[in-house]
Order: sequence, then C-alpha cells, then structure tokens
Amino acid sequence: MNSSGIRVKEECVAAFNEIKDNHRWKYVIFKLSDNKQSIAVSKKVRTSTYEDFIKLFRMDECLYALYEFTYQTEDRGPASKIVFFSWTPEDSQEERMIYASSRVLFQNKISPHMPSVEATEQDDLEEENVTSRIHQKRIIRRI
Amino acid sequence: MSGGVYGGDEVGAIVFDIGAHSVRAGYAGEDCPKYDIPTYVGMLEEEVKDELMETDIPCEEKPKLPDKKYYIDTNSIHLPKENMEIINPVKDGMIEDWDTFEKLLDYIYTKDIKSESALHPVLMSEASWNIRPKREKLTELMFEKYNIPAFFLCKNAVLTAFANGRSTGLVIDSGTTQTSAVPVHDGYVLQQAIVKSPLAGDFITAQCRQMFEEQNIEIVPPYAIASKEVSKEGGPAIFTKKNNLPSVTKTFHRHMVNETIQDFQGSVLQVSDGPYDESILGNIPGVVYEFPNGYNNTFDVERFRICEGLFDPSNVKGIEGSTAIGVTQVVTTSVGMTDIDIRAGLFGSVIVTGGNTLLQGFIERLNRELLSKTPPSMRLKLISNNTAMERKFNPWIGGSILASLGSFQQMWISKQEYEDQGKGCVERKCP
Repeated sequence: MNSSGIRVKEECVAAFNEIKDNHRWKYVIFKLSDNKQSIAVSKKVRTSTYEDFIKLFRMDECLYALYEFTYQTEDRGPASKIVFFSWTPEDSQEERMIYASSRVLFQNKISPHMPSVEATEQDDLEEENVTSRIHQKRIIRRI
Repeated sequence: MSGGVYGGDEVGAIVFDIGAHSVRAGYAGEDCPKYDIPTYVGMLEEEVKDELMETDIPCEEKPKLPDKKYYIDTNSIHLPKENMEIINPVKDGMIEDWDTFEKLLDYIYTKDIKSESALHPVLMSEASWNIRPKREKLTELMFEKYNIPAFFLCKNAVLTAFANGRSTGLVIDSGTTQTSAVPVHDGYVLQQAIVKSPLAGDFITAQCRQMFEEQNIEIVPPYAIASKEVSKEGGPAIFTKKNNLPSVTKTFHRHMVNETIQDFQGSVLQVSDGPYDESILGNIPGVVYEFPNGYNNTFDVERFRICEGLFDPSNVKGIEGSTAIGVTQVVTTSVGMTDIDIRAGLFGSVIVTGGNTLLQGFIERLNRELLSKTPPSMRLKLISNNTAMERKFNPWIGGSILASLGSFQQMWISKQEYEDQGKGCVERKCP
C-alpha cells in the first residue's frame, strides 16, 4: 500500500533500466526531494565494492538504493541480481515513515519483483543477510 | 477543485488511536498525543423524565429509554457515584457500543481539542481485523455527525510498522485485552494469518487478583480510603475507610480495584528469562510494594510466577480449552500461516508494541524463545521502542507523521468523495 502519496520521478525508472539492460551502474542512490513530495536520483556510481557502498548508509538519513550483486552459481556460471535497499535508520523518525510507507509504490514503479531489504542498522546490511534474500540458493562465491 | 481531492492542509488534522484501555488524540505533526483518556466510561441511567418535559419530541411507539448520563475522563470516572456503571465501548479492538463511543468523541472535541470538528481532517487507527460494516459505519458517523472535511482509516499494525521504518514486518501487540500477531507485508495486513490470544494485561490482572485472594490480601482502591498510617511489613493495614461513600456498582469497584492492581503489575512483576524455575528465581531479591491502604510486603517468586502464564499457559487454571496460547506461540503460529517466501522478512522485523510488553523482562523472554523457533537460515530481529511512551503510542505516532505529510493530502477521503460515492469508498481508499 502506498499511503504517503509520494511521487516517483521518471529518472528513477531510467536509472534502473540502465543497470538492468547494460550494467551501466554498480549502484544508484535515491532520496526524497527537499520539498518531501517526490523521490529522485541522488547518485549513480559505475564501480564500487559492497563495503564502500554501505558506507553511504548514515544513521541520520534515509535512502533507497539499487545495488547489482554479481556472483558465481554452481551450475550456471556467473550471474547477477539487482537488490533493492530501503534504509530507514532510527534517528530519522519522520523521514523513515515517508520512506517506509512509500517503499512499495517506489519498488512497483521500477520493478515489482526484485529482492528487497529493509534495513535500519548496519548489521542488517551484512552481506549474508542480503544475499539470503536473493532466492538463488546456489550462490557459492561472490565475484 | 477537481476530483474532490481534499486540498487544504492549513488546518491541522486530528489523529485518533482507539484502544481498549485508552483513546489517544491530538494534532498531526506532534510527537505524542496531547490527550490520552480512558476508554472506560461511567454511565448512569436516570429515571424516565416526566412526559411534560419532552413536548417538542413527537411521541414514539417504542417504550421510552431511560436517560443516560455519561462520565468521561480519569477524574470523572474515579469519583464514586451511586449507580454509576463503568462500561467500555470497545470490544475485541473494535467499536461495539456506538452511542458511548460518540459520547467519547463529543467529549474529546468539546473538552480537549476545543475546536469545531468540521475544521479538521481526521485520521483514525483501527484494529487490523476490523470488519467492513464497522468501517463504513465509522466513516458515515465522522462525515454525517461530525461533518469533518476529510477522513482516513489506517490499520494500527501498518501504522506501527511504518513508524518503525518498515513496510514489512510482524507486529506483535500485547495490550490490555489481548495479544495479537499481525503480519504486514508491503504495507498490507495479511488478514488470514492474524493470530490473537487473550493472554495480555487483563489476564495478568486476573492472575494477581487470584493471588491476593489466596494470600488474603484485600485490595482497597484509593477512593475508599480516608486516611492511612504506616504499617509494618506484612502486618495488617492501619487505615480508615471513607464513611460517606455512596453505594457504588460492582463494575465501578472492580474497575478501581483493577487500576490499583495494574499499578502493582507495573512496579513489581517481572517475566523470567527462561522457563519458570522456582529454585533459581527464589534467589532473586524480592520487591517491596505498598498498597494504597498502607499494607506493604515483599514479593518474591510470585512476581515471576504470575507472568509465566503469558509465555507458558499450560499451568494456568481456568483457561483450558480456550484459544489462550502463549505469546511466543502467537508469533510462530502467525508466521507459520504466511507464505514461506516472506517468512524471512517477518522474522527479520518482529515489532513489539503495546502496554503489556512494558513488563520487565517481556522482550528478553520473547527474544530468547523466538530464537529457538527461528529457522536456521533466517535471522531474528526484535524491534521495540525504548521508551514506554513510544511503545504505548506507536500507532498514534505513525498516524501523526502520516497525516502531516504534504504528499499525504491527496490520500484523504474528501467530503466530496464521500457524498458522491457513499460510505463504501472507505474500502477503496483505505484498504
């Protein structure tokens, strides 16, 4: 349910398609606009490690993000999966409500069926927690 | 204005959270509800008035109902009055007695908020299992009687999840009358997997009452006490009863005794870390508690024993064969009824809310028991607000933030929409 009435800018959908179609970005960060009416792209990065990516998650600020995991499967060789992150840390009381109540709308707008993680603390972001959401049990190691 | 969208956000919306124990109300955008008044209402049926008094009302065929006088808010319901019954319009989390409920709203508008209801949009929380006829009736009441400009109804589990930054999670709410587990997935309540149990605050109160009876401790509520003196620990209470008391009803006395016991619950009781084991818990120092009449004593293992039923009802007398299942089982049963694909998300955010969870040790015990029930491939995470205020007011706080968002203004059911489409629009606009 989208209860916040927030709008999603077209550039968000475009950024997702750029990852999906030609792996143009390793990750993309989305944030609420200053007037709190819409969600827009805040940052697009070509290469990064997962460790560097999660350093962007600060305790006082919410964000949405897409990150493309690449990994080795047992039987089908290398594969990749885009994971959606909703980061709503505790110190952001009002903002986290907007992010939480808009998450489904946002995700539906870009791609409804991708794996998603709702995180509020760094330990929610541990790679193991995240990869367990990718319903691909045959991951053996990350590339 | 096109489409009847409610466009004015200059005047603050009012947020109501209707609980079995209290009604929380206040302006959207504030940190906590300004008003928190008991849902319990004092009701006095007066003699049928003289026919002459009602000349302007046409004579009806049905027999005249006696006039009812209502007493609302803490001070009025605590004042002993002859024949005043204490009633509660909320049952199973839903509004049952609409007349009394209206009186409560009337009171909040005129005595607390002191503003015209027609000026403020209203966001109300509701039980996650609320039923369509009640939702429609409430919508009708708010628009027709209170003439509000816009309305929104939101399930309290969803508000709680949102207020904790999540759109997916299992909301476990242990309040006065029941403990419930409500799975929220992508902002929607999974109705078929809701699990409820009557083991909650009132159950603990009943357990205390039983213990006091066994120990021959008479609970004298403050209203009946004129004066007291210091008494020896465990010795008889030295106090004088008020002698000019009106003859009060059983419901009034019971309510006052319950409130006295509830204070005891909050100060003395503790949930044991693991299964109740008298040989270990017996070594933990007791807690001294003084009752309003001056009787005081130390409570040792019994303060753990009373709470044990919440988690392990097998030894509790008088609830055999009922739907009473322990708190942990409420959670696991609920998760077990959901699709296997979303269980990881639910175990990953178990949100604990409700006044009864403030019992010392409640969260720790739940965490411990759930850990052993969580599948090894999944991670368990319990989320609870640290302060008592936040845990009691979670749905209200969620509603307060939501209703104050600029972007939310298009979500309201406007008066125009209500007039065009009727009360059924609540099902569509507020799923």
